[in-house]
Amino acid sequence: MAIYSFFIFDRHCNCIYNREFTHLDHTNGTSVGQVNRNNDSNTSKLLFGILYSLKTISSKLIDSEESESIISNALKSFTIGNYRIHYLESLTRLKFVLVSDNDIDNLQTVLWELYSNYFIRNVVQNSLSPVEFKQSDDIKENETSGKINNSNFINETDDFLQSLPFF
Amino acid sequence: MTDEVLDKQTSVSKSALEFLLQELVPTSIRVSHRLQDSAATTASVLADKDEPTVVDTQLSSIRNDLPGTVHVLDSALINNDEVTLRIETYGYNLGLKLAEVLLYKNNTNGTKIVDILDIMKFVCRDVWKCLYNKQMDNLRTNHRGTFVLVDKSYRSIENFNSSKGVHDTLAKARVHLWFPCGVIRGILMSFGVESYVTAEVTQLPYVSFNIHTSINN
Amino acid sequence: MKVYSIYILNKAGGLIYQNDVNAGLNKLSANDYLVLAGTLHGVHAISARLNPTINGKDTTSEANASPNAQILTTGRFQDSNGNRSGLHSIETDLFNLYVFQSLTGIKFIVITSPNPVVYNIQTVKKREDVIASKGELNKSYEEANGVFKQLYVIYSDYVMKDPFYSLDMPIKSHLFDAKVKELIS
Repeated sequence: MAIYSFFIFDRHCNCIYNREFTHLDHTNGTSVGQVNRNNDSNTSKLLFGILYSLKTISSKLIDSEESESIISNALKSFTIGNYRIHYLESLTRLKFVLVSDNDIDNLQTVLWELYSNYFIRNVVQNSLSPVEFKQSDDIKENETSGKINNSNFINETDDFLQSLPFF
Repeated sequence: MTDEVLDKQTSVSKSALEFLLQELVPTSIRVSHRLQDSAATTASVLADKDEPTVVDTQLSSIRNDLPGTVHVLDSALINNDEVTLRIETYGYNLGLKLAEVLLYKNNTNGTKIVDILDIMKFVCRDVWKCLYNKQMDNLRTNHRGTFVLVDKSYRSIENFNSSKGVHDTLAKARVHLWFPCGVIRGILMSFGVESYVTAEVTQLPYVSFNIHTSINN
Repeated sequence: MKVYSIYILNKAGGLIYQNDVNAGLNKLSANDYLVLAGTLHGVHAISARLNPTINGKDTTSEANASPNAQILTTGRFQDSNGNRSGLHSIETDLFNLYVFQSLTGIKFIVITSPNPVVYNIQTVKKREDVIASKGELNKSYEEANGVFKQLYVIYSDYVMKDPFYSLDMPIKSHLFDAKVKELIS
């Protein structure tokens, strides 16, 4: 069992956080992998495209009026090849995505924890961090602004995910 | 109907208040910026007066100052005296009024304020309890009019973390600290004590407030 | 596990068969079903592109190599499901969707009731609260795979052997309909 990567997309379809874990060295406790390297890569764009399509399908196939308790049928996860992709969308249309292997059934609680605790505390309540990540075109030289780049968020989410028994 | 000034509304959303206070610094920077602008050109500033703010609205003529972003904090004005003084003044005015209300309330509890140390204790206990729902962690004095009040986890800045590293985080947090400095100065002033208050922070969220007064005790 | 619907897609992603075996899903217009099929086909293709890169490792070659080797050595393909690297399944609150693909590129889509295990969103109080794996989803995938295999047999018997059926066109065989009903109930 393993968790491979963690993405956050904002409501403008940008990948605002991307963390990839490399599972080479299990004895070494330090975090390995990349942070915010592939935000604009094809991988994150394709992933977003898939998410978006599947979300549409899952809400289309279920009549929301019949099932009163659930506002719309939420996509929880999907499997491609040997990976399972876990998905949680906040009501503010932030999308939290974890990529794991096929043996992990459900990471909804983990995603919720990442959103409700780590994201809220380190991004929303941190007034030095933006909450609006839309890039205007003329600030390309300031590469950090379109991503979550503060060390508290990165370190705390890393610690949280790596402390999970199935990491 | 006499003892309810503070008890009428017993709860204010912690988050809402914090977000509101966090807006002090950006707002102050924007005001100063606009004042500078309007000194140069009066007409351009007043043009967009009645537009409702949307996600693309420029909040000031500072570059990329859009809602939800933090570019305004990178403005050179952040350490401008005018900006920090304005923040401090907000705190000062709050302090002046708050002292009155708290004393009025505590009067029934029998709090006695005799000397300057009592005032400091009042700040540590009652004022901090009222504003941050906690007490100061430490109070030191050299008995020559200088006091150091330590809050080991000052709530308003405890989640601060800039993407540009520790140095930048501390620099921006310091500007936010002018507000509680003003509050303390205002409280002391309402007791007739002239003071000069500065805040020191070397590691978040550990803040020490240095208070210089002219009173020897 | 209750099967809600069965769709069959041709190689180009066109919907050639659609049967709501049990009630549970929304009724869509004919056009919406075609769009849905096209979307799934597209997502499946994108997934196959994404699969090798999502972890930074290249797994396409091995995924493709094993069935090929199997065919070469044994002369036949052991597993009728040729869907290796594309979209396998979708789990939502109210249904699960499984995608299977024959080696010839025909997609069988099976939509079933969701897993009975209900995980509610909750705050993590203890590390033990994070119940991640019970292998439930893999089990239900296998179960759906069973349905697919039988379905594939029926498809071969009653559609492919139907002399009046032209390839890649919508399946309008009552016999096939009846057999699908029989299989599900």
